[in-house]
Amino acid sequence: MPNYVMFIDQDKCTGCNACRIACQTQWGLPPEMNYNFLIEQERGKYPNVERLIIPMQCQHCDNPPCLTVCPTGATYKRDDGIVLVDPKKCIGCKYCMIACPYNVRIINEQGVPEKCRFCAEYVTNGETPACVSTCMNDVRVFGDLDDPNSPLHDLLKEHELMQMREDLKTRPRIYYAQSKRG
Amino acid sequence: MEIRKYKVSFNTIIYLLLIAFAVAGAINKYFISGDHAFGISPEVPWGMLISGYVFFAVAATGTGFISSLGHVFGIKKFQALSKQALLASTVLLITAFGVLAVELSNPFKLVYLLITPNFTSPIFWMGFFYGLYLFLLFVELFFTIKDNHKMITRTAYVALAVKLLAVTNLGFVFSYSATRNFWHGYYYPIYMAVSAVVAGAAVLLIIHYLTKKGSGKFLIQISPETELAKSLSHILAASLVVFALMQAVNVGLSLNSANLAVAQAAKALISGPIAMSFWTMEVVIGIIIPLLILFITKFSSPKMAFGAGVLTMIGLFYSRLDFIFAGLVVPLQTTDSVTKSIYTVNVYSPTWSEWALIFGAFGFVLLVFDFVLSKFSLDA
Repeated sequence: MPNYVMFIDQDKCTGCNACRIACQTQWGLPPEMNYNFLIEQERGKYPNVERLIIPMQCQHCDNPPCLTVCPTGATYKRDDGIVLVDPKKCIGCKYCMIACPYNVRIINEQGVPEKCRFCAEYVTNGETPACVSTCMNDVRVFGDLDDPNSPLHDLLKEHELMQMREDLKTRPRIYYAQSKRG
Repeated sequence: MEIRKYKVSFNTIIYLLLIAFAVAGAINKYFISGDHAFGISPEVPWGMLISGYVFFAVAATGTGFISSLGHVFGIKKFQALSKQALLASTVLLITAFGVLAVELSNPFKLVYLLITPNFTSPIFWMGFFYGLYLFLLFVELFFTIKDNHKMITRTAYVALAVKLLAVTNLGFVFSYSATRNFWHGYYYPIYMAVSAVVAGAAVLLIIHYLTKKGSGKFLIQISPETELAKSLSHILAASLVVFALMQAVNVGLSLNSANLAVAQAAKALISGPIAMSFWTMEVVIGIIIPLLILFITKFSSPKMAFGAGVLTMIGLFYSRLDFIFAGLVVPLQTTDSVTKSIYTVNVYSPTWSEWALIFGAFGFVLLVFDFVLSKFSLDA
């Protein structure tokens, strides 16, 4: 069984938003709805100020708070680590949106708080997620953590890594390269 | 049980209009605008209808609490209102479930609570305990109709434990999430239990005043039984003082919290976007004026106590709205490597559909009460 994770090197991101548009196209989302987005923030004090661009999406946590609180088990985790929503079971209580610390769920037309699916159906067939394959700068790298031939191995070793809100112990499956800026 | 004829009055028309308004709001949600019918957003996923659910569910529980003083604790004077209290609890809880059903995007899938329940979810347990409470209320109603006092008392004992679990678990739904710092912790389960007593005393004071002993006609005259009104007024005043102190301590501690998100939420409550609602509706109308009324009249005017009860309920409605928005008003700090976006606030404004559903819910409660109390004699 694969053990899917994603590596994101935020310093390489130009903010072109191709990842967001590729995802919207892949999943047929309306323009106002997106499963991934860029957070732009500034760091430092004048005159040494820098703009950070942080690609953001569902972190596919190993300890997902959204799964713990879902009353009907609509949110579930596959053996390969991908967290998904079963729309058939979702009552639309939005408790997952309350519990998620990353603010990455959005209500779709069926009233289901959807989110990034790590392109589950595609990666199962050996393809890469749309946001990964479309990126001109290889900001995102997706792969099987247990595969010794995956480029992820070297990348994770080469970089100083961080995960979003580690203090909450959600154990995200997205590893960010620590920014060397600022 | 004596059965009379129900006469349609001007009040009936008002209640029906309010319900029609709610139906229009529900139609907008289900057939026209979907979830856009409500003012919620990814940043503020819960709004006025969740507040409404909490308001009606806690009022139902509190009414049950006070009524248990008669059946469970054997204080005779509270038995005088036991049937009205039972009816109030049942109607308020059904209304709460109705409001929640419209808030849910897919209420017809609630069957999955039974098919694939997630026992780690506080919402599952909330549904379980409140569902069980509603069932016990129907059991009590059944034995009340059958006039079986032994079974009524036995059911009341079980119901007391269930409603205590239900109301504290309702607070736990909010306090469970470590993501929402303002709600997280011990406070909200206790807040729910104490405010349930406040709501229960207020609801029973309202019912006591509006019920004419003997004829049972709703909304017409003062009951002569001032002794019970006095006891209920004492309970309302005492619980309001405890409630006010708890709120003051919670807001004070939150303002000085080392956790910036908690401090910022408390600031939003006292001097930010929620301040008007907090100070005017929750504090002045919901706490200070009712307490002044009760103390100035020395707890001996059922009419003024009725006024205090109405104002308390209005204040409590805003209290639910305030605490829910306060928990969501501070943007989530989703990343930890960058400047905190803590000095901005999320916005939320209820839509006409949300107001319509809340007004309609009140219309439903009043209509059922008017109908039942006009048709049947509910004196003890």
